Amino acid sequence: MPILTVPIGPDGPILSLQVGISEPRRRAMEADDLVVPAHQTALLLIDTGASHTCVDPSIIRALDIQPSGIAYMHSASTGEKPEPRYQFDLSLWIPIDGPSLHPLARAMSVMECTFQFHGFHGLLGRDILDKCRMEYVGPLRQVVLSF
Amino acid sequence: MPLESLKEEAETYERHKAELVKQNEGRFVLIKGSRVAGVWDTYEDAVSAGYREIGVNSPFFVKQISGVERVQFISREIAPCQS
Repeated sequence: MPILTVPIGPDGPILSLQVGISEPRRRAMEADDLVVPAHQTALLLIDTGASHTCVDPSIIRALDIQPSGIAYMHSASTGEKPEPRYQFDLSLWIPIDGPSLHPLARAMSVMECTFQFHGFHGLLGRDILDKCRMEYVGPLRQVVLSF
Repeated sequence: MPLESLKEEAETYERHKAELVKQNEGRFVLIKGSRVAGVWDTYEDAVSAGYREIGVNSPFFVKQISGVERVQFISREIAPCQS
C-alpha cells in the first residue's frame, strides 16, 4: 500500500503530483499515432472541504484537451446560485519510491477552477480522499496518506 | 457564466433526463451533439467508448445520470474561471 508523507506548510498540506490525460485518452491517441502530452507537475492542496478535485486552467492548457463534462459548483465566491464549470478527463499520479509513479486515478473528471493567486495549482478533493486513509499529524506538521 | 462548448450536449441530456433516470440512474451516459451514444456502468468505460467511437479531436459529454443535479462544494474562495 503506497504511503505518502506530505508536509504542512503555511497554506496547508500541499502534495506535488503528476497530472496527465486519462489512460483511455492516452490509448486512443497512441492508436492514432498522435503525440501524447507529457504529464504536468501540479501542487494540489489536500482539502477535505472540497467535494471534487479541481485544477487550474494552466494545467489543462498544457495537456491540450477539451472539456468532457459540466459540473455545478458552490464555493465561498459563488453566492447563492451554483456556477457551472467545465470538467476534464484526466489522470493523477503520485511518485512512489523515486521515479516510479502510482496511479491515484487512471481516468476521472476534474473540475477547472482558477488558482492563479494561490500558491498551488488546485485542490485534492474528497473524490480522491475517499480512496485513502488520511492522518493529520499536527505536532510533526505533516499529513500521511495511505492508498 | 456561459459555457458554449458542450451546450448542445447538455441540452440533449436535459431532454432525455427523465428516461435516463428511470432506467439508468447512477450509470454514465455518453452524448455527442443531439445523440445519446450509450450508457455505461463506470466513468472510465464511458470515456473509453467516447474516444473509440467519437475520437480524440471532437468533444463529447459524459455525465453520471442523477435525478437530482449534484452540486460540488468547495469551501474556499475560487476566482471566476476565464473559459
